[in-house]
Amino acid sequence: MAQEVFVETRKLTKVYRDFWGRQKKVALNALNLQIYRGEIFGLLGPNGSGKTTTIKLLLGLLFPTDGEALVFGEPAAKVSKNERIGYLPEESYLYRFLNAEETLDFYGRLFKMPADLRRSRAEELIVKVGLASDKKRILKEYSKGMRQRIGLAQALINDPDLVFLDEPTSGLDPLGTRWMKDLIIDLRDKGKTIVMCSHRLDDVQDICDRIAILHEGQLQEMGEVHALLEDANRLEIQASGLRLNEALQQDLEEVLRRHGGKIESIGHPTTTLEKLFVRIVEESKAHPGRRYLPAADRSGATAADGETPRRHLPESTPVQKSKGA
Amino acid sequence: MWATFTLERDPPKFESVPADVQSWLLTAGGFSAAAICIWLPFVFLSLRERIDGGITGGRSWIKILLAIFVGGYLVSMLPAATAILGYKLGWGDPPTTTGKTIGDMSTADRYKFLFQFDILKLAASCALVAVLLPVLFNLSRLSLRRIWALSRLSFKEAIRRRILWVFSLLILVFLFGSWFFPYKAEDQLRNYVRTVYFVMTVLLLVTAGLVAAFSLPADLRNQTIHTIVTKPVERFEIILGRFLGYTFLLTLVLIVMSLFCLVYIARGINQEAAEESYKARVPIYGNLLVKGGKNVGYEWNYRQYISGDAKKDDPEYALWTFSDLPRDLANRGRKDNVPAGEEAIPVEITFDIFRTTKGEENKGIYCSFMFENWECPRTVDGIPEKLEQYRRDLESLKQTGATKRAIDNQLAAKYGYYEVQSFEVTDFHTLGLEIPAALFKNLAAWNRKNPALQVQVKCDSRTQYLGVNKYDLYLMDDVRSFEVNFFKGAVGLWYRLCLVVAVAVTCSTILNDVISFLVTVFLYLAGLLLEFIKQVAEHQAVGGGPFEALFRLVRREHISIPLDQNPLVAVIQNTDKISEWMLGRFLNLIPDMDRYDLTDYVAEGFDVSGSHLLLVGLLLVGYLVPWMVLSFYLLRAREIAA
Repeated sequence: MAQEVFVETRKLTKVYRDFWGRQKKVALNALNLQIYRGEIFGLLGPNGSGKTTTIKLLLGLLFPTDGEALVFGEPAAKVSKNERIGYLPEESYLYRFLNAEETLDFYGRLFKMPADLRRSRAEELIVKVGLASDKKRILKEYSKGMRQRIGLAQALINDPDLVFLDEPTSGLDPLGTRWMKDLIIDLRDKGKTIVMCSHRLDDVQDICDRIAILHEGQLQEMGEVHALLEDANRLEIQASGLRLNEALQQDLEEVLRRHGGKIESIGHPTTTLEKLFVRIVEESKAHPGRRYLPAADRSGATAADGETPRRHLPESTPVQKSKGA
Repeated sequence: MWATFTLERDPPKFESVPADVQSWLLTAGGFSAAAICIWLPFVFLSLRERIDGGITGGRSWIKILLAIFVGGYLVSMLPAATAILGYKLGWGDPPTTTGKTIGDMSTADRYKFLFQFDILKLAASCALVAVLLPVLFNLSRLSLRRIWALSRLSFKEAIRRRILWVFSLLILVFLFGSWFFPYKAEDQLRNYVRTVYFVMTVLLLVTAGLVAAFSLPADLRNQTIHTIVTKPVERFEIILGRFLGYTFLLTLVLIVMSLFCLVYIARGINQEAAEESYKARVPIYGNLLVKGGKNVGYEWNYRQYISGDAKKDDPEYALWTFSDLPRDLANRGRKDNVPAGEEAIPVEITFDIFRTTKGEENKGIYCSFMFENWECPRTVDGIPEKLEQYRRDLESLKQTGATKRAIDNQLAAKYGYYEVQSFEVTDFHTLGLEIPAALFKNLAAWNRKNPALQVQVKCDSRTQYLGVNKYDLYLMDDVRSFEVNFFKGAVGLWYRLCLVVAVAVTCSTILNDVISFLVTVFLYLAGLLLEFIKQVAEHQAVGGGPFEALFRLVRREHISIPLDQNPLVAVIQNTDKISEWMLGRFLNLIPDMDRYDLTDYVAEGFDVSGSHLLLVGLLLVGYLVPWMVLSFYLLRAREIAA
């Protein structure tokens, strides 16, 4: 069965002009896209490649110079489509004189939502984005991460089918980034369609089902993330319960040679810095007062306050050994 | 400032509404036609989809209707444009209309004129409908809930940004105002009223202009508007939300300020001022005919002056005729403390005196008044035997010991006439007379052939002149509450408030904040000078148009002396014709601010009638509708994220 297309662009072009109508920049050139229901679609590209312009064209914030932008099969300029859309801008541009509750109440009033549903939904989202204890503070007093969280809450106030996220992890700390990525995946699992743009490749790689890579307004590549990233000429094996030694390495080389391959690198994998950071913060939450001690003070030492000092490095410290190609 | 009520323009009347609507139709239609002429090329260029899609919402039936009305406009303009072009090329004579009514024209001219006028009306209507159609279609999609949410946002924004603190400046007036008000006892109230209205006007309108002009550009700059337009919000709702939010907030401020001001005014008002202005008179005005009136040399031609030295065979007098009196006017004199047969109707006068000699120290001049109803032969003064009989009766009735009022009523009932001789009139003071109610007892049977009442006023003091204007003498229909009238005066300020907010919000849809504010201020100030700008545009200003005035300034030429004709002067005067034409078009953009200012009515103690408020409100609506339509298109066509 054909997948339902939620977003489609046909030769979508945007040219920025100066006051006299002279061409200043071609921000987007004949972009053809199809985004399907229930997927996380990432727009990738360097700064100025046309990612945000594409999203703004799809939201009706910009008018196309040529081509068509269709959302739910209707022109992007149509207001009624917004009933099913949520949008989180790059910076969380919200009214700083309102508090979190008022912000969600205000945005909720723009939809056809009964008052009690609006209130319960606002309450639920405030808890979901972790701002329950700060809901009475005005947004002016919020940190950037908190503003991004309330920004996401306002984008979800109408329980949208399609969510546009412009640089959703911008300005978030690693914990916030992880939280945001989990939330995006959770939304996808609940059947929402996500269109996001980012220049943080790790974020896109982690969560997107399909991506489009733009450069200078031109679509360079599009497809499923794992298919695009797969290197069919190389094989990766991960095993557990072993430590690298000469015998093991020789055996492996022997097996691979028999199948016509060779080892390019072998060693213990490293964790990501994000995972390390998240783990340390979580440990810290679990053991308040524990702190880092230099190596000299570490061996069997106990901190003055009786807490165990934190290890200098985690167990999975990279010990990678490379062989020449 | 004259310490008296002066009305340089007649208050608005229902009778003039059809003509005003017609004029509005032609003006708004003209602007719509200009907009269509700008829009049409876009339809056929590359921006077609964008503009068309935005305006019609992609609905084909609106597209068809739009095409019909735009076509209707073009078709109906064709004969008018051909005729005008034909006249220019000398293919025929245009109808001679200058200084003529339609009735005065030749039959051919009349048909030509009416045809062109009607065809223009048709073209204007088509253009107007074509422009209004997408707006009306969009109106059906507006949601009060969303507009209210956006209004609340504007309301909260203004409060939380502590904009309202500016109104605490009013306290300065309350605390120190009386230190600086120099006044005669009778002028105390009018000075206070004018001052508090002035301060309220400045505070409210400057604040309104600032918040309205800065709000939308700030939203665009901070991109907060992105999260709104990506919700199911029509762009026009954003405009209406701003307009209603700020208007609502400032209306509350206006009510509170008016209350404080009223308490401030009423707390220590002296007796003379209270008698002069602490009321709301409901006057009945007549029409004035001045026989032998003169200009005594004032630049301000508000009044005509009648001499006390007029010859008997060439009398000078002022004659007020009242043709529209309430049928039950006689009953108005009935009061509990007035015995039957002694009822009186108050009349008030405020004249100017122009002295050619010093006259008597601390004395006014003397005037005589003759009141004649429709039954009285015109005029008693002209039939000496009748007048002599009246005076004989008066003398004999005085012997009976009856009260003066009773005698006056008896004679008024018999002769339809009443006179007041040697009445002392002081300069710019409101003075009261009482005329017998019996003059109006048969008013129900009035035949409308003659005026219901005529009042003839003569100056009796030799070597002195009496200055009169239509509004200097009136019958008092009723006296109402000053307090209520004070709030009615505040409605005039509220109208201006709406106007400023709407214009500023409209400008801010396309211009940046500072420029929007300055345009609003410019239009407001131009509105205060509307009469002068009109004079310049119609080539009525002394000293010529703007370029001629500049030329005179540089050359130090007197404004009243015609310039010597030479090629340079010809160029300047022709340039002025172009600038006057442009000024004429610009006139339609300028609000008639004078109409919304009701301060004088309240300060001088004259009631602002409900119909007056309604008609001024209609004028405001007529002015604001095109602005709101403009704002609809401007924001609609704007790329929010550009």
